[in-house]
Amino acid sequence: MSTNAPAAEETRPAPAAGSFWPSFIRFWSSVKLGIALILAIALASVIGTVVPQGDASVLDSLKVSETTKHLLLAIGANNVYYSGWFMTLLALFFLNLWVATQVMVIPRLKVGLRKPPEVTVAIQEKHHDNKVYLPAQPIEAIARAFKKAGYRVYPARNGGIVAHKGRWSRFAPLATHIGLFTILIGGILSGLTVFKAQVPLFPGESIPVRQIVDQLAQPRGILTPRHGDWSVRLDRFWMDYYDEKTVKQFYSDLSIVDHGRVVAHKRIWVNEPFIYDGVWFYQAFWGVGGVNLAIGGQPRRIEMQNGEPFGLNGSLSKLVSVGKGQYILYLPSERQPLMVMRFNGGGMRPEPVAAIAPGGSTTVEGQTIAYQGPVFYSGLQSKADPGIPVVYTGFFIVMLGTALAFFGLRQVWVGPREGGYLLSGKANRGHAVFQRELARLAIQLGANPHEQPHGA
Amino acid sequence: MNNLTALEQTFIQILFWSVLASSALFLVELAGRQAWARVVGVVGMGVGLVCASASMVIRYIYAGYPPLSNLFESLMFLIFGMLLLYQIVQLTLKPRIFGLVVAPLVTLLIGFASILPARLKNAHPLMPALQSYWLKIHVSLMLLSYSAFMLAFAAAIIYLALYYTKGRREGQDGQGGTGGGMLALEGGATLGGTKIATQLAFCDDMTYRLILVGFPILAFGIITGGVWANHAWGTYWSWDPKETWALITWLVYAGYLHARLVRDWRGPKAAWMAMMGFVSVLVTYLGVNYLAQGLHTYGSLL
Repeated sequence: MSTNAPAAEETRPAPAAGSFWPSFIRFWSSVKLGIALILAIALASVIGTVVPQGDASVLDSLKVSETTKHLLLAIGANNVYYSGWFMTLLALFFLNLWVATQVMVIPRLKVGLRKPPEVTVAIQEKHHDNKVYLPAQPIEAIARAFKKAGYRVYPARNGGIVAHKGRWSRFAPLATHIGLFTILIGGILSGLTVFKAQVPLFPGESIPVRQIVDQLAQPRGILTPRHGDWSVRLDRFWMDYYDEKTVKQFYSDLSIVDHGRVVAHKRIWVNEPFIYDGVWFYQAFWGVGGVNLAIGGQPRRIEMQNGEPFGLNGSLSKLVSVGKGQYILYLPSERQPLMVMRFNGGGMRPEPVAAIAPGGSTTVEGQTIAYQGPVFYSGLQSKADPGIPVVYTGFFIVMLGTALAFFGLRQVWVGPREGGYLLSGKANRGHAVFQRELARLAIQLGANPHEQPHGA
Repeated sequence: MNNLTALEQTFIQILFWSVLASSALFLVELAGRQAWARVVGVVGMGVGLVCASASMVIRYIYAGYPPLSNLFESLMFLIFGMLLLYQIVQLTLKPRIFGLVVAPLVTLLIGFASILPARLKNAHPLMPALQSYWLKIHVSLMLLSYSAFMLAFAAAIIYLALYYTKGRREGQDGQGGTGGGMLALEGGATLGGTKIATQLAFCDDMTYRLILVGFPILAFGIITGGVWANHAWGTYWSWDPKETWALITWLVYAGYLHARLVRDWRGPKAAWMAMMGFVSVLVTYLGVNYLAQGLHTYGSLL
């Protein structure tokens, strides 16, 4: 490239006609293609926010014709982000990003990092609005002024200078693209190695991590690493309330038990997970899973199921034997009394016998039933995702790259002209501020506002 | 507490009236070429900024949590962000007719915030999922990026208005530099220059700069959201409608930046693309809560 070659913006490979590889590169490095793919991905993403996502049954809630429903199912509109065509779009986008980074971003970066081309009349004439005459003076004085303003200054062959500032901003596109690739790699790694599981635990209950991974994990990557032989135990679960109804926060005390020995302990709550051996435990939900009772003086914890089988809608119930009879224990909600109902066989309505407030008791069939209170379970979300560090690295690089993009490159040329100098400059963004900087420097260097030939 | 809510109300009222007065002053400036009107208008916007800040601080004190958890609080922060960025733009770029669009836009937003029903407006205790220091970081970054995009939208409107009323007739769209003259040395006269090409190029550059402010902040916002989600829900990305739309918005502006940087799209095409980005911001911020249920139901409109 000759010294007065055009600026970086015009560099673009000119492939030889007819051969496969150059035309492949040319097609896949196209920014037009990139913008088209970006907008296509954006549009495809819109579908997923309008059509409910999930299995085929989620479309039942939509008020559309059967034909439309079939069409939506056929294109996978109910599962856009994991559909083959969306993955293909993403793959094409990253191919484009990769080729464009190689063919355009890196060569431009190299050009941008060089010192600006030599001062020539042609170059200076190109800077329409950013030209100003400076009176005769030692070129060192001009160089000093620009150095002081943060420019890197180089002497030019014709006795002038060239200078630039903000070169490192040229790394912005490269960093952003590399960051996106890193996130992609991290995302793929996540997909291969992640496991996520919902783990409801009663106080005192424990579960081996291997059982979580093998039996409860959904989704589970094909390369999920095998974890150690330890278990997680819920020691205690409780809630704080703002008032009667509003839950403020809920907490679990967790212990990690390794071959009978407690090796770690932590209190978790929403927004405060516990990480052990790469496995995260989140406080995700809670529920009532039964009641604590004493029947005839025998303390028991009774786990309860949803009450549908007995026609008791939506609440917890359990069939138990008391003496010779069959009774249904029925808990409408955790803050209401426990109902005891006689079970008269399937199809018959159960008959209420007693309602016991927490701490109270009643006698049924000659036996005392004492109700201590509901048993809460703690809903843990458990996961391990070895892709996270890679994704976070990508996040960091993207943040760096996009932040750099705010800054611009400023280039300045000073060449001898008509007994003095012609100062000219160019900025790839922030023209108004750049013009003001040039004007300030020019006045400082003795430029006379009244002796500037105005107009083109 | 009652005293504090009353004080908060007072500040919001002063905010409303000062920004409304600024709108009128900017109109006077345009119609009557009165430079003093612009100066007073900018001061009015500054008064608005102080009042918006004060109202948020007061709510922070009496509610006991960072006021970023419902629609009203987010609107107040958005207004604060717009007024803050407006002052920065006014100080650095010194545009002439910027406030004419920004002030009415802010007035509208204050009006919208004040007619919200009490349940979206009053301070409520935070639900467990929102009790995290990430609330401050993530939500304020998202709203700050929206503020920058709102101002970019205002600059694009001015561009398009100038272009379709004057520029097109004169065959100017501000793309070939600012019309071919020397650098003006007196009083930065190039900035508010009378030449239509200069004005168009200036608005175009201002839109671009504001998008360059919003773009990284939006990236920071989405990323801190991902980190928070990983911390609270166990996944950094779940294609929730709100996060998907935030990504769509980011992609639209990425499209704008690439079109500009590499294909040299400036002028009307770029301005229309900035409008597209603005629509996407509106959908992300408000529309998603109508469209779909998801994890981000805190700012709900329904």
